[in-house]
Amino acid sequence: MLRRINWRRYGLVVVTLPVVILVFVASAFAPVIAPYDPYALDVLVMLEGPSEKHLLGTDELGRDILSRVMQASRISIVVGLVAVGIGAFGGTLIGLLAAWFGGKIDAVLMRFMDIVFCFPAILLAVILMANLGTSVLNAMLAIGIIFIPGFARLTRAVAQTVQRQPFLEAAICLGVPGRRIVLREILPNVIGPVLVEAAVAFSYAVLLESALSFLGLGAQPPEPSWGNMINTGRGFIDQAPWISLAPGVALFLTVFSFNLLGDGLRDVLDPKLRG
Amino acid sequence: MLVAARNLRKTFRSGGLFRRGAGVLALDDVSFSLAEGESLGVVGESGSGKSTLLRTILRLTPYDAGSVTFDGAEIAAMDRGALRRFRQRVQPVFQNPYSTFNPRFSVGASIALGFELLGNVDKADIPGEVARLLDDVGLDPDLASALPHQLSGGQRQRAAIARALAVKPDLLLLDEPTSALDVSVQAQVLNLFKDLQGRYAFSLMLVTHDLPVVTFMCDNVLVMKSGAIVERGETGTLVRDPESDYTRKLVSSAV
Amino acid sequence: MAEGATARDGGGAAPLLEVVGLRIELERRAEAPVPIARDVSLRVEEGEIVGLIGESGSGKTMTAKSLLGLLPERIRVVAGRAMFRSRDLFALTPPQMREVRGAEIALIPQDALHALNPVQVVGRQVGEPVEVHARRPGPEIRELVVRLLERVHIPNPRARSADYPHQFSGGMQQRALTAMALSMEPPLILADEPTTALDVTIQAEIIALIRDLRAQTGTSFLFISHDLGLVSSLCDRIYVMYAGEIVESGVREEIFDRPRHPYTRALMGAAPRLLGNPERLSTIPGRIPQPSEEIAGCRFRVRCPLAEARCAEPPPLREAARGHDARCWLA
Repeated sequence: MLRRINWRRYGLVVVTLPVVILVFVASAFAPVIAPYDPYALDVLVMLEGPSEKHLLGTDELGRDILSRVMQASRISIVVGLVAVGIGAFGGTLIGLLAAWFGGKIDAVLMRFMDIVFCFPAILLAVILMANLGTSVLNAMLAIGIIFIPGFARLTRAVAQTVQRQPFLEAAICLGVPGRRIVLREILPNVIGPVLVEAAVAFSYAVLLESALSFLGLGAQPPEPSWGNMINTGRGFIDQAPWISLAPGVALFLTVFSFNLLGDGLRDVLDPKLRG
Repeated sequence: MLVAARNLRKTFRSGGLFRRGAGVLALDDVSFSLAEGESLGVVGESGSGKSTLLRTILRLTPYDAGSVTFDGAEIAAMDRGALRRFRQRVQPVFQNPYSTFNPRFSVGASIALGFELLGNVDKADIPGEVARLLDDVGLDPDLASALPHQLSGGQRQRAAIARALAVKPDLLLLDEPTSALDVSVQAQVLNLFKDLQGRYAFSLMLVTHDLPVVTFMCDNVLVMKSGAIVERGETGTLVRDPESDYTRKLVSSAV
Repeated sequence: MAEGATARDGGGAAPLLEVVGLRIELERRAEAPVPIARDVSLRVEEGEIVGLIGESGSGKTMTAKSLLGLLPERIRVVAGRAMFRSRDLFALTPPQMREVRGAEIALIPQDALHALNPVQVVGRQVGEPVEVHARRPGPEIRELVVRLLERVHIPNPRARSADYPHQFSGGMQQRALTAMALSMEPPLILADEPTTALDVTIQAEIIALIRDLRAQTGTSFLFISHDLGLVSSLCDRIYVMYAGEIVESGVREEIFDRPRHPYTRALMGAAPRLLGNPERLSTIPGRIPQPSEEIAGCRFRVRCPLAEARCAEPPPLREAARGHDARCWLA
C-alpha cells in the first residue's frame, strides 16, 4: 500500500502529468470546448487584444486565438503521436533485429541508420514534399523516419546488454526459440528506455512540425497550426503580439512538459528508486 | 564418450570496418573427452580460455577450427531438431547468481520454462513439478512465486540448479558456480551438487579458478593456460605430483 | 616473526591503533536504526599484520571504512573510539581526516582493476598522495614514484610509470595501488580484500609483497578478507567477525590450531581443501542473519550445533586461553 507518494520517484511525473493531460484534453475536445469556431471570420474584432470575450484576443481576420490555439494543438498532437509511433516501432524493430542477429545484418542495418541519421529532419521533409506535395501527412512521415535511427540505436544498445546477461544465455541453453526470447525476454527490458525516449521525441516532433508549418511546409492555411500562427503573427508583432505569443507559449509549455515527463519516466522506471 | 573435442581453435578478433585487431587466441588446439558419469574439472586463471571452452561446448560461442561432438554428433552441424534435443541434454549453471534469472519473472516461472519446452509434463502438473524440484535443491517450494531479487545469492544459485535440472540433462556445465558465494554457502551448494549427482546421475564439467573446489568435486582435471591444456589427469595424482611448472605453481598458491 | 610481535609481548607501548566499543548503525527513515557493527574492539600494534575476517554481512568492511571516515550515506558511527597515535579518529573534523588519509593511514582498495583512473598514467596516480600532502617539486615526486614502483617489484619502473593502467596486468595494477598506499610511508595500511579480484598465483605474489614490505618498513597492516586460507598464511593476529560482532580473536596459531568459537570451527570445515577432503563438506545450517534481525543472546545460537539454554544470554568476549578470546559460553 502506498501511504505517501515517493517524491524522488514520482515527483516529476506528478508535476508534469496535469499539463500533458490538459494538452491532450484540449486537443481532443477542441470542437466542443472551444469558445468560437476557429475558422469563423469576424471583421468587427480584428486584431483585438485579450478581453473577456476573447481571452487571448483575435487575429488579423478577427478569429478567436484561443480557439485556434486549441484547434492547432490537434495537429501537433497527431503529428507527434504518429511520428513517434513510426520512429519507435521502426527503430525498435531494427534495433532488436540488429542486436539479435549481429554480424553482417547488424553492420548493414546500423550503417543504413547512420545514413538516415545524417539527414536534417527539415531537409528530408523538404525533399519529401518537393516530390509528394506539402501536407501534414508528409510532415509526419518525414519526422517519423528521422526518429527511427535514434530508437534503433537505443534499442540495440539495451538489447545487447540484456543478451550478455546469464539469464538470457540460460534461456538459449534451454532451447527457447529465438522469436520467443526476443519478444519475452529482451523486448520487456527495452520498452522502458523506449518510452522515455518517446516522450522526449514527442516534444521534438511537435517542435519540428511547428518549424515546418512556420516555413509553410506543414499545415496549410486556413488550417491552424502553432507554427503557421506564429508565422502569421510575425507581420503584426508590433500591433498584436498576442497572435504569435499565444501559440508560442502553448508550444513552449507542451515541449517543456513532455521533456520533463521523459525525465520523470526515467525516474519511475529506475529500479534503484523503487520501494 | 559423451563429449569429445578435437583440435579446437578459437580466436577473438577485435576491430571494426577498417581495422582488423590482432586477436586473442582463446583456444589453442584443445582436445579432450568426457565420459558418461564423469566429473571433469577445468582449472585455469583469467584468460586461460577455460570459460571459452565451456561456452563452446554449450554452443554459445562458435569455434574457428576443430570439432566438438556430443554423443557422437557434431554440435556445429546440428539441424533444428537435433539442436533442440541437444539443448535439453546439456545445461549450464553460471557464476553470477544476481543476473542468472530474468528480474521480471518469478523464480517459479523461470523454472517452469524447462517443463514447458520439454512438453513431457501436463500443463496442470507443472506447478507441482516445480515445487518438487525446489524441494530437491533444498528450497522452500513457496519461493516459486518470489521474484529473483527477493532471494539471497545462495538461494538463487540453488534455484538456478533447479532450472537446469527441469529438463533432466545428461551433462551439467558449471562456470565458477560458487565463486560469488560466501564460504559457508559455497559448502552447502557444493554438497548439493554431489547429492543431486547421485540422484539425477548427470555428468559434470566444472570450470573454476579454485583448485580445492575441483579436488572436492571432480574425478579428473584439465589445467589450462593461455588457451591450451598444459596438464590433465586424475585429480588426486595431479595435485600430489604435478608435472608442469604451471600446475606446480597453481598447487602451491592454493594452500 | 616481526619486531612488532616482541613489542606486543612486552606490553609496554600503546598500540598503534586501538578501537574500543565501536558501534555502527544504518539509519532508516521511519524505523529503528540497524546495527551494522556491535561493540567492536580491536587493536593493531606497530609492525603487526592483523587479519579481520568474516562473510558478507559480518560488518568487516564497514568497520574498516569507519576508520577513514569513508562510511556511505546514512551509515554512522554512534559509539566507540578509535585511538590512533593518541587521537580519536572518530572525533576528527573532515579537514583533519583528510590530513590523515593517505598520509598516516592508507587504503589498498578492493577492486584493483577499477581503482586506477584509465585516462591518467600510472606514475602520476602513484605520486598523487605526495603531491597532495607533501607538495614537493615535480622531479622529486617522479623520482620517488620510480623508487616506489621498484619497491613493489614492477620491472623497469622508470618506463612503466609513463604507462596507462590498461597496459598493466591485474597483478601489476594492484602493485601500483600498493605503491600508492606506501607513498607517504604511512604507519598503517588498510587492505580491503586486496587480492579478491586477482588470479590465485598473483594473489600469492601480492601476499608475499605485503610480508616483504612489513619486514622492510615496519608498516602495520589491517587486512580485511573473507578467505581463511589467505589470512592464515599472512597475519600475525586474527579477528573473526560474525553478524556485526567479533566472535573470536587471537594469534594465528591459536585461531587455526585451536579454534574456540563454533562459528570459526564451522567456517574452517566448510572450505574445501586440496587433499583429504571428506565426502561432504561440513556446513552451517540456515543462513547469515540480516543486520536487522534481532537475536536474543548469542547471535550464532540459532545455527550453532552446540547451543544450549544459557546461550540465550549474550556471551561476553572473554579470554579462553592466553592471547585468545572467544565470544561463547562453551569456549
